[in-house]
Amino acid sequence: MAEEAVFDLVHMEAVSYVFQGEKISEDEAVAKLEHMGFATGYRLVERLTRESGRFKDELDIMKYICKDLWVTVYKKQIDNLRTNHQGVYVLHDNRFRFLSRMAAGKQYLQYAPRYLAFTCGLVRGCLANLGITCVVTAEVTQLPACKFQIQVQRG
Amino acid sequence: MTIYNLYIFDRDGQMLYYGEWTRKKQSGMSREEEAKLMYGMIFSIKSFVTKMSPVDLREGYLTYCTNKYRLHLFETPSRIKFVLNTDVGAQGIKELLHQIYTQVYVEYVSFNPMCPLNKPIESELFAAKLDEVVRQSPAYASRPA
Amino acid sequence: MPHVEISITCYATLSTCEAPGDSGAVHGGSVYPDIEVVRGHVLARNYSLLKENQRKVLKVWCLIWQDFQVCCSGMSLLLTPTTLNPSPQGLRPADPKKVSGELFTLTYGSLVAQLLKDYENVDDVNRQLERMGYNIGMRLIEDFLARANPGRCYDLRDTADKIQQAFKLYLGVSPSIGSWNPGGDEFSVVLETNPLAEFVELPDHCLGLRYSNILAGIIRGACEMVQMEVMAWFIADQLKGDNVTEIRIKFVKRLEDAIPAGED
Repeated sequence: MAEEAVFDLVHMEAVSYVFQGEKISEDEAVAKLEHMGFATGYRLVERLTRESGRFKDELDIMKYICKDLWVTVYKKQIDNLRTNHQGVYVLHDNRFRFLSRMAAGKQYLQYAPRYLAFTCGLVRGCLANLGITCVVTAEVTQLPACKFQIQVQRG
Repeated sequence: MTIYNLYIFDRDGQMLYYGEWTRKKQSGMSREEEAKLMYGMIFSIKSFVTKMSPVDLREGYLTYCTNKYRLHLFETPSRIKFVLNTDVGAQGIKELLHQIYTQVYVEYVSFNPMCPLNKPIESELFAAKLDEVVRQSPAYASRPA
Repeated sequence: MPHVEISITCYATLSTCEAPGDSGAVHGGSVYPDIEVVRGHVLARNYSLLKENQRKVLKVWCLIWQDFQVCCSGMSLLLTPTTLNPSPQGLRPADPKKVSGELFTLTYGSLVAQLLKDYENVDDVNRQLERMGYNIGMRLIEDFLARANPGRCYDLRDTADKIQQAFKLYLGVSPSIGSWNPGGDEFSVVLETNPLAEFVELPDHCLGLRYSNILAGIIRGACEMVQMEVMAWFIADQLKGDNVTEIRIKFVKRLEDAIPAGED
């Protein structure tokens, strides 16, 4: 089956939809994408973890996001996971799917964040369903690589 | 064997992309003008051949040869036209054009949100991938010094 | 812990049960977890995965316990799956292939929910979904041609076969083709199950919504790229209580190549 092609194109259309028209600000549009990602991630992880094992701790959950979730959604694993052990996790993807066919280098760099917002929401939604409240941001300096930063909110 | 140059046209006859590898002489007209003439020529040949030919042109591939060069036209069912000029001895061009379509155009244009479908292709990644595929093809590798 | 011998077996059974479904009803409102959802997850054990949630979970279980005492007397055991150890053996991991298909379904659901928030009128949502589908179809057709190499269409029956093939390839379902009109320029694509609507229930205020309208747009966009102008619209929808989901397709005209500038 080739369902990933349809997923890629629906995502592409969702991005172009929220940015159409001149009335909307960049922040508003990004917030909509983030929200769609959140709703998707929240439900997706429920189906994904339905039959999988339990998690030891927070780090274990992050590893799960980097491996199983990423493979399901983006057909590859996160290349590198770093943490300060105080609730900050940085996920490096050297060839992020939504950027990989867009450019290699700096071309279209200013548009790249639009293609990361959905995923920030997706990760936040997954984690919310697993009981972790967090803020997820993304950064790209050189396509198609990017990094996602997860900041866990305690208390 | 040598690969000279490539034109890609959309279904409206607009040139989406031009690339060249070995071209010793320029036409002396603007690229747009040249593209119009090229499109006009393949359009005429295609419609003439369709009228004359006793068999259907099912595969979307057409080629003709002069004593100096060979022109290859590959047209997808979605009417994207790839026109590649080579020397007379070039082999395997039909496969190369198919590969350019499936591995370069579909990947880096159809799935590239930065490429509107009815505008010339400006993606550098597309250009780089195209160049890679052409240079790796046997028709390019065996070019004479 | 008392009753360990039976509780593990019981839990193994319970934990494979579906999470009570908050998983797809289209609601324009918030999708953030409310108490209903949390309760669902407590029952489905998702929420208790982390230590800090366990006290909350225990509280909920106490409340449930009290409820049970009220409604059914004589209960002797309440199973509370709070272990952080790996699940008992015999459970299969979720099939990632299946979940990948669901990813598209869920993403689409979030998109529709967003459109319902953005537009006041469901007709506008229907129109927008069709337009998005059209844009997708124009790109997806290239993937289809490259991947399936289906060749050219010589008549509408060819086209119908290829639409059927594409449904199989991209959505994993095999629709049936039929209900040709006498003129042979109109037919139906009939889906027994619609993967897009898998987790969806339409709330009352959305009855005018053509939830899967994106499919009609995709068909129109894809056909247009291969020289066929068609109209596509839903005439039956399981979300509205019909037995099947049916898309009607009508051939309008054949599109010819652009004539070069300066010629007629």
